[in-house]
Amino acid sequence: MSVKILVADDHAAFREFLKLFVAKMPEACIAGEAANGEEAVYLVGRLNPDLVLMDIEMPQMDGLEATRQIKARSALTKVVLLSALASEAQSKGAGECGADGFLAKGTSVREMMSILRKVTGDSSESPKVC
Amino acid sequence: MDVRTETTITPASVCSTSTIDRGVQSEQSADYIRVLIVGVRMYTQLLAEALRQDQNFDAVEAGCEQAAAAASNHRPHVAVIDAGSDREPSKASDIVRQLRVLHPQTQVIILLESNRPQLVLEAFRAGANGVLSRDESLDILKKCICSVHRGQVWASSVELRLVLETLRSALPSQLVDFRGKPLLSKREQDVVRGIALGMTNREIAEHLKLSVHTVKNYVFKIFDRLGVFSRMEVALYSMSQAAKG
Repeated sequence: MSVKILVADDHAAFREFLKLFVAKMPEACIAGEAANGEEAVYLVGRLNPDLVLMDIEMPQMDGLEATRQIKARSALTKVVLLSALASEAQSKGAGECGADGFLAKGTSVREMMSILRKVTGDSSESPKVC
Repeated sequence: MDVRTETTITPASVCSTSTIDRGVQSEQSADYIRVLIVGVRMYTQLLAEALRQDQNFDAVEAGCEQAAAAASNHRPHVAVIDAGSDREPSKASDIVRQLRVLHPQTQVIILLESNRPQLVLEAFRAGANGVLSRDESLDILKKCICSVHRGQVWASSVELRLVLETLRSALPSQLVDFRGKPLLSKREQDVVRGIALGMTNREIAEHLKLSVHTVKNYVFKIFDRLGVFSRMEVALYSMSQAAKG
């Protein structure tokens, strides 16, 4: 069964590139996309994704607050936070707000896929896409 | 006269001119464009992957520190430098300068987080052939790459306006050679100012009370004396002189 992913990032091009990438993966599909935390919270309620891949730095509502609200409403939804900053504080903040994973944008796409598979419980090691 | 020299002058028309040219290019050329994407890994990998899905492009990615080595290995036609956040604006410009020296045949585009005037000007001063917002769609980025690959300058009307506003506030009194001797006559300098301000030949002619034909002759002479091929280059040359002076 394919994992439904909601992508939340204020950077539209990043969302577009990520969608093109996920489109080639048989085990995942993009359920929707959000440009800020508020939209992400709303769309989680509407689309019920398995996983939210969300940037921390976003306007209106950042990824940390959005994660808190998502987890409060839908504890089973997995959240992996992304950040351009690879600081310990960001990683700690991600853990404290209930995120299931944290990724610096400096990491590779292969590492991202590995963490997404781990978070969603897919233990398959076969690199289907990367 | 070359259509491009007539149309490139107007900031608002640059992107549409580029788009038309890119359309012609994609129909006529079967060759792919080798692209090097430099920046933060996850972003560059996803962008390279997205470009590789189009048969007109072959893309590889590299981190900022590996840009020169990657350019040596892959001999890209076009390098796309992701300046990332505004926190380190000089890093992208340094990479552009490095590529300009080591691989002058590679055309360079800088992706900017914002179109802050200083960032846009710094990008062109460093030698970029185009600037583009990081938030533009993949389709626009492809058009930008194709246009720059054809030797054109790419900038949005907003970014060009920023460049022109800078020119307005710092137009040089005259363009000079390395000895300080004027390169252009007073009349030719008047025409250069008109070009830098984004005026058409007709507008320059009206402003200087000359015929359009005479202005065209001046423009050809200016191209010849400055060794440039477009009005944009005249404007950028003028800006570089202003920066020096």
